[in-house]
Amino acid sequence: MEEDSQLADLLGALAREQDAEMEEAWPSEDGALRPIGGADFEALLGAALPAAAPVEGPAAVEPPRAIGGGGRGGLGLGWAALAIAASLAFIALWPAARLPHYALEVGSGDRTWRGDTVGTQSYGTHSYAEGSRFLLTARPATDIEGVDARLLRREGAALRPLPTTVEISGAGAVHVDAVVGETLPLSPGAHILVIEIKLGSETRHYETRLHVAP
Amino acid sequence: MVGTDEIERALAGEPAAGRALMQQLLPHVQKRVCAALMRRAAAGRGRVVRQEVLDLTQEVFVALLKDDGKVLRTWDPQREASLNTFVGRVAERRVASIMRSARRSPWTETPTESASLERVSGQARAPEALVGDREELAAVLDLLRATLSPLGFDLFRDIVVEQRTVEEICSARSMSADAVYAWRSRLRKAMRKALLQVRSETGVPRRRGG
Repeated sequence: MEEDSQLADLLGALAREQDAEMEEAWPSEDGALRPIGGADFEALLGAALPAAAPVEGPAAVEPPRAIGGGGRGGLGLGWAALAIAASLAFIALWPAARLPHYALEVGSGDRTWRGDTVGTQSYGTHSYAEGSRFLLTARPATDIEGVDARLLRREGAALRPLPTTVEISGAGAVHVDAVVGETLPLSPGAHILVIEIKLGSETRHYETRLHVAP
Repeated sequence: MVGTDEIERALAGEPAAGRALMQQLLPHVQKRVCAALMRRAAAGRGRVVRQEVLDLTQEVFVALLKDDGKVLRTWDPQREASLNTFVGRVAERRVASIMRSARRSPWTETPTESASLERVSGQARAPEALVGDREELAAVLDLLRATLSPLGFDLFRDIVVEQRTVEEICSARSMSADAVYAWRSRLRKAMRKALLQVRSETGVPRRRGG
């Protein structure tokens, strides 16, 4: 009993110490700890507020999250080094199914869009240059095995497969790392890319728009 | 100051109310996110990365707001701390849970960005902070943050961290003294269990207190 009391005293003291360190260190004027504001805050609003929608209906899905920007060292993606201007608009089509929801994350070099209100809103027009790197990750809300995925290009009502390699993790995340004009063969102009995720007979499509500069 | 009426308007989809709510809560969420990332950095498990700050902050807000604000609506201004404190505690628990999960990212990252954080994490990396009981106790704290129920964590804060008296807690939370004593006993068991779990996970049996 006395030992339990001693443990509680030690944990309490450490927690107070951590609180004091936190108060001292934040907010920081610069670096990773700097307060979120500006475009990051606007993106946060767009990504978080749609989550408040009731459970039923298409707005209940997890909003897309962003990746990129911050050196995901495991894959050596080197986002910050990419000088890509991208145009991305997320349109997630969410059928009711047992496939988990996926959060679409598209990195665009020095710009990252951290999500969208669910539906068809667009973030404006930007473009990739040929030779730019295109990175996309779709993460499942829960681990899922056995999914298949491919990258398609929408042409009107038709979906055309692209020869771009799509990686699938053991947890069911889908990842595309391609070079525009090379492993992602797109001609100059506007394109709608569709990542198709399948589990058995269930299929989901997640769209992202981009423009390839001439 | 945002209150329950403003929360309702924000959850109803009123843009200005949603913006005001997030503006008020953001510092309290981000501070907890940064604190957790700093603790991880202090433990030598990577450095703080801006993108992680953004991602975790977003995840906390989604957790607060999803399903018509199910978690946010559990805040009771008559019985609990201020909204900012409530949200800070939610953030503390949520971030600890996320960081404990091995499934944080299927494309596992080892953060490498943000030299600007070296000053902060460098301080925390002092040798005495990395060895012995402090490191172990920090892991126990993080485990408790990740696993205690919302009420359990609130009472852990009240009883263990802030060392409030039973009378104060009874008054603030409309609880009986017996209920508070029961929670104190429960929390001591939880702390002991967490300590044993941390030791079993690290595989390094240590004796507390020396």
